[in-house]
Parts: sequence; C-alpha cells; structure tokens
Amino acid sequence: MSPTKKNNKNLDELITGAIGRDKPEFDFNKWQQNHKREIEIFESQTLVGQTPQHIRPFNIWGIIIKSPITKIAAAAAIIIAAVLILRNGSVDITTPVFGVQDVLVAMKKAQWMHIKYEIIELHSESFSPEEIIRLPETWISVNPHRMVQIFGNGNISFREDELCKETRYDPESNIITITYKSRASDVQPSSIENLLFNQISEIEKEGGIVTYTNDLFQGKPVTVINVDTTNVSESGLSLSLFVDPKTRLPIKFTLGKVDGQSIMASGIIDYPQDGPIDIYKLGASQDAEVVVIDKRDQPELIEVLKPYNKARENLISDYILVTAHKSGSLVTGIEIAYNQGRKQRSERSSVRVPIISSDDDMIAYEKVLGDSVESLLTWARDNKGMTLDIYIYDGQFYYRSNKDSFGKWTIHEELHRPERNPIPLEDLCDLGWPGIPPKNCVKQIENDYSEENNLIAFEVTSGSDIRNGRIYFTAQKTINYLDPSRDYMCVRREMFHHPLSGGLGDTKIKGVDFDPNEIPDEPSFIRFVSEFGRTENGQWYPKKIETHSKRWDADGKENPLSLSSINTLYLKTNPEFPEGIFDPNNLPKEGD
Amino acid sequence: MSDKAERKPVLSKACTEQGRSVERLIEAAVGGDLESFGELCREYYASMVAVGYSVLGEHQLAEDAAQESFARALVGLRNLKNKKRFAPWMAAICKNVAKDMLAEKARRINSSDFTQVGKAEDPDGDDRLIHQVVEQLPESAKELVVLRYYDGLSYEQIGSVLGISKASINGRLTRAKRKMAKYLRRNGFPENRL
Repeated sequence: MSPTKKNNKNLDELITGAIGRDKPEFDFNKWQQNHKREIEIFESQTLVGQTPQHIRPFNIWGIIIKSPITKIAAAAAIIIAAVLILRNGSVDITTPVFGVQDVLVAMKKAQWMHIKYEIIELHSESFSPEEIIRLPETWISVNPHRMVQIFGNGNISFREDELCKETRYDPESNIITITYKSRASDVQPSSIENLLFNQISEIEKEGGIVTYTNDLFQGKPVTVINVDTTNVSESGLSLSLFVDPKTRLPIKFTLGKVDGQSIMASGIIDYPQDGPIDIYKLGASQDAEVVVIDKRDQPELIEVLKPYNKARENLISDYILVTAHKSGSLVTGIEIAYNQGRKQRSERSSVRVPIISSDDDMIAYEKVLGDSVESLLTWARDNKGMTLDIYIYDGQFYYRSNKDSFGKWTIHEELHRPERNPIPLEDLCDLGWPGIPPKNCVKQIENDYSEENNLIAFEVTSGSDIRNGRIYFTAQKTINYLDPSRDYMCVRREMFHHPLSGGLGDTKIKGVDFDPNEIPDEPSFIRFVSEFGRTENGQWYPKKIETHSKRWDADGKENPLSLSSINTLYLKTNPEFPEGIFDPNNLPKEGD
Repeated sequence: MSDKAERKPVLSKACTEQGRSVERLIEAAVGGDLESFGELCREYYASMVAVGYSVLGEHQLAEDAAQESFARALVGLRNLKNKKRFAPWMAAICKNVAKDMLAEKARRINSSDFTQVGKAEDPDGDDRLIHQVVEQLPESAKELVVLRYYDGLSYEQIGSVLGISKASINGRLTRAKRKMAKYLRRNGFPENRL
C-alpha cells in the first residue's frame, strides 16, 4: 500500500471514529404528529392552489381536530360551544325539537361541567393509541373560571384563571408545582365562546350542516344534535351531541367519521353542583414537595421600566449599523443592519481570515476591512465575505437569501411564522435596549454593582424550554443593568444558567417549569458595553460590546469566565438608503 | 478502532428499489402527496442531519434541525423553482434552521462555544483533537468532511446535496484532509498513526 493510500485510510478511520455515527432513522409518523400545522398548511395549499394559509379563513374545525391531545378537553368544550353557535345561515335544522338558545341558557346556569372520555374505536392516524388513552378526565367551571384535569399517567392540573395560577402534580417525582403567571393563559374556558363568536361568520361561510334526531341514551329519550363537518373540515368528521330534553343540557358527545359507523372518541358529560376544591382532593400526595414559581410582575417595576420603554420607543429609527465581530484578535464576521422605521435588512458576512504570521500580515488584514462605516460597507458591497446571509423584514413578513461558501445563491425563502424560529436580526434596539419578554418573571433588585455604578438592575427569570421531552434551553436568570444617564441603555447583562448534569438534550427532566431558583449564584455569561458612542442629536449607543463566558473542559470541569468576543459598532444616522433595499423582490434568487 | 470506523459509505437506494425516482417523488410531493414527501424525508434525513451537525456540532440538535427543515420545506415546497435542485434547496433550508438554532441558542446561552452542549458531548483524546481540526476548517471544507464522515455518505449523495460534481468533491476533500493532517502533525499527533 502506498504511503498516501495508507495515510488516507488512517485519517479516514480517525475522522470516522471521531465524528461518525450510525445512520439516523427517520420516523415519518412521529414527524407528522409534531408538525400538524405545517401539514395542514401544505394540504390547504393543495386544495386552494397557491393561497397561503395565513390569508385563508380560520378553520376552527381544523384546530379542534388537530389540537394536541392534551388540549382535547378544551377542544371538547369548543365542540359543544361550536354546536351552539352554528345556529343560522347555512345551517339546516330538520327537526327542531327545542331552541339551541335554550341549551345555551341551561349550560350557563350549570356551575360545573364534568367530562369523562370513553374511547370506542380508533380510525385516525392523527392520534396514537397511547395518546388517546391519556385523555384527561376534565372539570370546567364557568364562574370562577377553572379547569381541572386528571391525566392517564396520574398527573393532575388545577388551573384557576382568575388567579393566574396553575397547580400541577407529578406523582412520579412527587412534586407539586404552583405557577403564578403574569397573565392568564391564552385559552380560558370563559373565552372559548368569545373565541368562537369571533369566528362565527367564517364557520357559517364554510357551512357545517346540523340536523336533529331523537334517540335513547341509557334508556332515556334524548335529542341528538348531529353536526356534519364535511363542508367545514377536510377530515370529514361528525359530532353528535346528546341533549337531555328536560334539562336542555348536553350529556354525551361522540366524535367520528361522517358515515356514523366509526367513532373515534366519546365523552360523557355531567353537571355536578360542586367540583374539585384542590389538588389534594384529586389524589395529590400530602407529603409532596411544593415548588412555587412566581412569574407575576411587580407593580413598582412597571413604573421603573416606563422610562426604559420610552427610551426604546424614541430610539432613532433610520440608520445603518455595522457590527464587526471579533473573536480573539481577528474580525470573523461583519453584520450590516439597515433600519428604516419598521423595515429592516440585515446582511451577515463571514470573513475569510488569512494566515497571519507577522505584524505586517495583521496590518494588511486590518487595512482591508478598515475602521469606519464607509470602509466596512465598501468591503461588504465588494462582496469579499465568504458567505452572506441577507434577511429582510418588510414590516410584516421575513425573507431571506443565502450565498453559500461556494459562492452560489442557494435559497430564497419567505418566512411567515418567525415566532417558531426567531430571525436573528440584531438592531440597535436589541443591542442596547433589549425587549423584556412579558411571560417571564421580572423584578427589580439591588446589588453591589448597581449601587457602585448608579444603575437600575432588574432580574428576569424563565423556566426551561422543553419540546418533545427534550430540553432546548435551560432555566435561566438574567440581570440587566440600565444606565439612566445614558438614555436608560442596558449597559450590562449577566446570565445564570440552570446546571444540568446531562446538558442540553437531557430528557430526564420532566417538568417544563422546574425551579429557576436552583440556578447558581455565579453567572456563566456576561455582556457589557465597554465603550459608548453618541450621535449628533445626543442619542447614546453602545460602541464596543464585550462578551465573557465560561467554558467547560472535556471532563466537565468548569473554567472561570474569560473573554470570548468583542463587537465594535459603527453607526450612521439618517442615511440615504440604496434604492429598493427593503424590497424582498430584489433579493437574490436561487441560481443568481 | 471503533465500530463507526469500520462502516463503509452506503448509498441509499430506497427510492430506486421502490421503482420511484427521487424526481418523481418530488413531482408527486409538489402535487400534494404527503407520503411522497415522507419518502423524500427518509431519503435525505441522514444527509440533512449531517448538514445540521456541520453547523451545530451536536447530534440531537442536528436531528431536530433536519426535522424542522422538513417542516419548512413542506410549507415552501411550491416555491421550489428547480425541482432538480431539491436536495441543495433542502440543505440550504437545513443550514438556515441550524443557524437560527445556533443564533437562538447564543441568544439564550450566549456562549459561542456551546458550553452546555459541550458538557454533554465533549469527546476525549484523539477524538477531541479531530473535532478541533474539523472546527478549524473553512466552512465549505467542514461541511464536506462532516457529510462524508458523519453518516458515511457517498460522493453521489454528497454531490446531490451540495449540487457539485464528484470530481470537485474529491479535490476539495483531498485538500481538506491534507490540511487536517498538517494540523495534526503540528499538534504532535504521531506520524505513524496518520
């Protein structure tokens, strides 16, 4: 064997041994379970041509039928309410025994609604049998608004929306987690009707067909309200609601295919005078550890943040901001942010770093980029970057084009739902006046650093982000320091992360809201403004931002904070923007 | 030597075995056939995971990136102008998703070296050095090396994903490996093991 061949073989084996792994298997069924919305959009495109979903009428049935199974209890209430709403227009009532309004009145008089699910037969790929089995027994009360659920695995959820409080019990860990939220959850029992009333015209346009028949249930005569969703939902599902003619209350419902032969699920409904009082009455262990997570905002902090938010609103809106990202002594990336009102464009280039073996090399390298907005813009326009990502936000949607490392424009895409994967457009606001997520817990604090530097400090904590049983982001605490003497700029951020034995991807932690109080006292990351700039109009801005972070060795040993990057910002206010720069139609297309 | 090193690159022929070419699957998927899209996902999953890994450097996240890119691709399938470039198009989406994940993670973790991920996956000894040398490579070379050695993709598969010729892959890969060997020697890696 020649030395070259041997060399190749050895190196091949070394690389494969280091980074190789078994071929991953793709589970399409599971993928479909996790991407129902995308499939719905795809299918709607098929049916209505190229019309994107976001401008189509809201398909409430699609939402009901394709809701995650854990929301099925709420969906059941929606189904019932939907029947009450489908009462005129295209609705065909063949045997009106009594008015739908009577049913609505009767339901509103009931204090509690209790739903117990029975599964008769499964004819849907939407839900796996394991999920169906876990349908929770549910109690809903109207006033006060509560939703209580017992899941098949023994977990209990007790939600009191007026108190913005949710109590959850996990029998496996024997932990009760009480979470106070800064605002009530998006879907409340009380808001279901309102939600649907807002959609009524769309539902009527789509034309569900309602018919009435008489039947027996448990030996007693009932009126069955049948809803045929063939015209409303692609899934062709039917709902039958069994109403007691005496009380006018629905006592059972079934959900199945329109032919009436295959029933997917059914639920028995009753209306007890009293419902569950607390989680212990439902079986939570008295000796369970109780963890309280308080995410409510402090009223006094809201006052403190007023000038900060005002400074954010008054921030200059027309500018070009060039950021040179430096890692070590070399600039490795250039980002240009064009900002005009709500419109944004970002161009991110990676820099081809040459071999630096002498001071002369370094001087030549620095000269290529220069040290001003103009020189860096010139560099960028001459397209000397290795790769280039362009993002545009036109005030409504995001668009992007990429030039890959081979110099080809490989993609041009529109992104209508950036909330799922936020677009990394970093503008002046993000860098100096970052937004405060409303769902997180925010409270004002004082510490040595804030006192010594006359800064306002506030702490933001958030739970971990767990999707599909895997941790994406750990629970974290951030301390932000605002400088009142510099337009309330956030001049320093310290981040503290929940320690995880298994790191990200750990599937052992079950709860989404595990205790953020467990995060350590030492920050794992600090970012601060080390140099300030000021525009002609007196607006302060960060001129140089340093980042220090902790690193871990291969054996898991934690090293102290060390400098990881420096960003230098070059700001040009009230610029003349190149023609059409914010127009997504001008973005390079694939193959350009 | 680990089992992984023994594996030979394998060209998946799922499509041809079923008598349905990739192009036909793409046509069918664009026409609204979800199952055909599923076939395409199966066909390109390993490649997309490798693409994701070249950006993220973490197996689990790379799989998430691949799956999320399929979701984006499904929604935007009708925007695909050139059906023959489906795989490069998908790879570009996957890279975007991975970069978004990286940016989002940096925003949340704010650590450019994925310290927390590193805790879970930091390799030891030789593997660590190899990881370092792969990281040192220019982006395009790194991508090629990962595609080739992560799941053992063939030149045909790599060419299909990157939209470049086999000859070009061979040349670039040779240069990348030369650079890697040079780096390893410089860092005291025994010559007789190279």
